[in-house]
Amino acid sequence: MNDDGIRVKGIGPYLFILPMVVGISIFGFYALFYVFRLSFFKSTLLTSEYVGLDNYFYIFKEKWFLSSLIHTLYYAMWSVPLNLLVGLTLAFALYKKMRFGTLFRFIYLLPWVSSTVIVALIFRYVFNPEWGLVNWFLGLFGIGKIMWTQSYLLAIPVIATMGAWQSAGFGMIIFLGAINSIPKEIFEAADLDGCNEIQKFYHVTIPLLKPIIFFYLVISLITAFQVFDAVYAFLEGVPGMSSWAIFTSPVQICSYFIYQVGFGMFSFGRSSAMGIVMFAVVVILLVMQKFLLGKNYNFLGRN
Amino acid sequence: MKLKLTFNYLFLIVFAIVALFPFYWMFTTAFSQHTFISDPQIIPIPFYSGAIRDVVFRHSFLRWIFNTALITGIAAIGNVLVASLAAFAFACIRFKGRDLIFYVLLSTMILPGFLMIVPRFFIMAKLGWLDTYQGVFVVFWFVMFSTFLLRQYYLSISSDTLNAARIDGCSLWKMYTKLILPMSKPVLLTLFIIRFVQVWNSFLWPVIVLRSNQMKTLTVGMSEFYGIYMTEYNKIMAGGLISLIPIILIFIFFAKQIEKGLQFQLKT
Repeated sequence: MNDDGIRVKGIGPYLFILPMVVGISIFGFYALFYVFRLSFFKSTLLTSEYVGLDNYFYIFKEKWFLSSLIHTLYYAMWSVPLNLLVGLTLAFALYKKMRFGTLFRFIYLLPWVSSTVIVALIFRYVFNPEWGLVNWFLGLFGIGKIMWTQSYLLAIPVIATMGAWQSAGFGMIIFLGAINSIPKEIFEAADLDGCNEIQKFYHVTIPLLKPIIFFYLVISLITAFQVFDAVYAFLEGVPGMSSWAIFTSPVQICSYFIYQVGFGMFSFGRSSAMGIVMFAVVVILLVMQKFLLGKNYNFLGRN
Repeated sequence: MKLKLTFNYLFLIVFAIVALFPFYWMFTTAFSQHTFISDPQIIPIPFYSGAIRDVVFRHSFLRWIFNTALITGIAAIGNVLVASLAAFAFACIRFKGRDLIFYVLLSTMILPGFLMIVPRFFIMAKLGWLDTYQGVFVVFWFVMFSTFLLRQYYLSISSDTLNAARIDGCSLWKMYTKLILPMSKPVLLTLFIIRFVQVWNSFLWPVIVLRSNQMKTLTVGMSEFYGIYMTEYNKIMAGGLISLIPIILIFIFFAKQIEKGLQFQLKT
């Protein structure tokens, strides 16, 4: 394992990495440079004019972008704990050799394999105030019709719930993998010390899983900041939903905002500036993750 | 202990119902005569296929499925190939600047999708690739996650094996095609499947590149259904049902690979 590869003279190895290097240079680095440059321009499809930092002033002066940032945070606030809770619970329910275990895993993964756009179509229907399944179910308990998608306070948790429903299987697989890689001897030792199931859970399983739980939290957080498909499919076709309506729509989420300002209103400069600001937020999150996890992180805490 | 197990199964079953019910709801609505169903039915009675027929004849689902399959297939194969070429070099060969290049490339993994859509759109416009297949699939080739993953796998190949092959007169290219590719078939297949599912369901990039109806992928086509049908839920669900069939078939055949592929995420 420790060997560092064979020595080869000449350009051979560089030819192997060439396709990847060229592709990433164009669609990664050049694109990044391009979007950064564009954020200093007032740019439509046809014209382009240098405006300095105007786009950045614009997005911080007008409250829309900041409010969409708050909405995104609000979404993350719902989606991250929900994802974690569902994934962990499923993994704990399934990690022992259970009958039909494969079948259950298959069922829970089905939503993950389905595309978010179609899942969102179903959930819009399920949460429809008049004919939706959820209000029908609540009606059985005498609860009146709730307008799920009228205000962002409710609409965003609904989208977050859909996200948790969809990624439940993903979380489960991640945590199952982690639980199964805990050495059996640790549990046997705990048994010898007279631990019961609950003690084992709190004093052995949870502490050992801490790093992976943290890892999953960070993944969910970053995914939450990039949510797009779900919001798009939830909003598309809402009556009066022109591109300008993002400023009044109940669900303003950053990535959707960036998309609409760019491809709905053709203000590519402003859209780029928003993208750069959001990217900075994501980078800060990632740096925090590295900082909190430390360098020699291993998800079982062993080296 | 027995009580706990019963409880466990009960939980699993309840959650399985939660996971499946929206699909079932979609299914019954798609075969319903009414534009929506107001309470759950076990079997849609009367069984009505009008909504399905209506939707199938009005939209080019076959074309959309073909588009999606073509784009996804080329995207996933291309990504696996480009990534395995690079991963072989990064893992098995020592050359100048190797680690630096690798980590610089790897840093692109943090670039979020919403940041890349505008500049890539302009690049595609310059190349004249808007509304074409290659405009969509080419960007999916250059995903460093795949390289990272394969490199982890190739690192376990010992240099002795490769050196022995070299003494036998094997060129690097032959080593790659005759040794590396055959021995890493399972991991390549897993990677291919997981990338396939991801690209198949991707939306943000295709919706920007593809404009004309004949070029649309399933996700792009389906995203417009609410705008077209408003509250005719049976037709919306009929469309959803048709577009889910291919990927669910793939899932049934490759469930094991998909599960393994998801666990790869742990290693990154």
